[in-house]
Amino acid sequence: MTGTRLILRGAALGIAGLVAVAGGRAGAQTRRAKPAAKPTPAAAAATVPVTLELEPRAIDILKAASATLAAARTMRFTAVVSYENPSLLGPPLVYTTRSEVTLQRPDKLRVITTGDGPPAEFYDTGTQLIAFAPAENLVAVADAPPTVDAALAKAYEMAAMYFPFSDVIVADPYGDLAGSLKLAFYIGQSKIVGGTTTDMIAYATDAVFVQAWIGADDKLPRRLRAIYAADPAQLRHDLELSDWQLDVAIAPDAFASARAASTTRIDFARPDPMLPPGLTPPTAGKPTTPARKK
Amino acid sequence: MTTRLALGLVGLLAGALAAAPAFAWAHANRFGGSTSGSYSSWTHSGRWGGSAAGGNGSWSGHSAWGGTASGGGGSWTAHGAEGGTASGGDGSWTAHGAYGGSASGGEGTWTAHNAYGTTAYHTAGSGTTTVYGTDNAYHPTYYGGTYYGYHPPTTVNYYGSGCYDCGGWSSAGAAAAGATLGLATGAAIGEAAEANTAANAYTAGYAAGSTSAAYTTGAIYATLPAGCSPTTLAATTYYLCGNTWFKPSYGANGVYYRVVPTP
Repeated sequence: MTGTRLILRGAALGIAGLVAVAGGRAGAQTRRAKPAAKPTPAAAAATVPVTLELEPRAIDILKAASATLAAARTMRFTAVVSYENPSLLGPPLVYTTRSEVTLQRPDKLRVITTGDGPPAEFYDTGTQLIAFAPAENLVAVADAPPTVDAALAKAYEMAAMYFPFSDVIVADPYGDLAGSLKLAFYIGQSKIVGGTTTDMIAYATDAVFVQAWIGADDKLPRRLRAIYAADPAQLRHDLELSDWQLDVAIAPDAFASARAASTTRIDFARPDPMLPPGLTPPTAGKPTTPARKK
Repeated sequence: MTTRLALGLVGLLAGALAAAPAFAWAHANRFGGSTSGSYSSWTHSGRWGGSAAGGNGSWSGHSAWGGTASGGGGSWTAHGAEGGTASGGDGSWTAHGAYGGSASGGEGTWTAHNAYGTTAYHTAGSGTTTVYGTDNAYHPTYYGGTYYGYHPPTTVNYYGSGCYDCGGWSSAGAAAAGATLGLATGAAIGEAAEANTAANAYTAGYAAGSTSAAYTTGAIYATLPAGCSPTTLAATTYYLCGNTWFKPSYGANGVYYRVVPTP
């Protein structure tokens, strides 16, 4: 065995150790605790069977919110998104972005993200999808489909772009959700969220559990909080919606940017991992079973 | 040499259980362990209860916290108390973490996978390690000292391919079981890969911080290094940074830069 091979093997063993150590860190967040000798009240509560039920009161609130949003010819609101990401130590950090959203049905959308993180501008002009990065002075442009719903889908497919507030700007919010709903229930009222009285409901699909605060009077969503079933760390994603304006007049030039139109163009592209040319994806090794000698 | 490597791996697996026992084992004699033996056999006891013994071409070791290792005749196995395992022989090895990570390799080539989908890959003689995942490059500042580099919430590797209508939280199909976005596991592997890359760059005589050897093809970054020049070739915009070419694209709610071969 050459010295180089020894070094590489040592590095590989180090990686293996990191896999084990890091796996332990991450797993510590999600692994189930070993059964206690005596059931604790919490453990007993966890074993209570849950009946998946769509409570009519919760469904009515969801439908009312959906109808209010779907009926709006135009809308403006502010979306503040807070989402968790684990730190190297494991406990999550929370990051926040703020976006100003303007919609005009059926085919115009503007999302101006002012911070934190890099500023960004997204436009659906009705004929073009434009994503402009003012800090880098770069813009990506593609043909727009005929509706905002289709534009959201296209942005996701071609560039992995996604807006958490998409739930409230699609043409039929409840219709999008209804087919996958597994659970919905009414929680109560809050007088804190959004500075008004809201009805709190929770609903779930196989993929996500959402708690929502919806205005008791105006039926506008003020806050949504999501946790994904597929996320082993059960991170929290929080969306605050404020400054609602429905059916307001919007200037015709609101859905375009002169600066974006004149800057350097780049492509839309998904940033998914990719393998270098000529390299096939590695497969996990199968453990060998060498004879144990004592 | 095989014995030494296996014992080292056991130490690493023990690290998955808790840092203290691994440390205690590694420094056993210094803090109260004892060793005895003869020409053909030996035993060792650590202060905290770990032990090792061997002779006649075979050996075994036990940590006080449940890790074990044994080997001989060119092969070895190791088990962590919480389920991590490793084995090897004849120039190859595999390892599995208790929480889903795995690694395998041999003769200078290895791959490692964490439970969230990130993969690190190293080819013998390549001098570089490539990490397939968005963790290390896309989110370079995990401690939040500056978070200019992070993007707004994305669907990449999180909502997976189940874009049922891309409508939002409620309707986006969160189908992917492996979330790689910023998880600590991937970050650890990413750090190791970066350290590996830096070490190779240093060995090759590059100055620390040089951009020419620190980037691997296909990797993506939220920002460019200093001193890049924009270049347009065949109607496509690139940035040349030292000897490394970056292609900017707009995705996941922001601009990112992918390292590409010389266009």
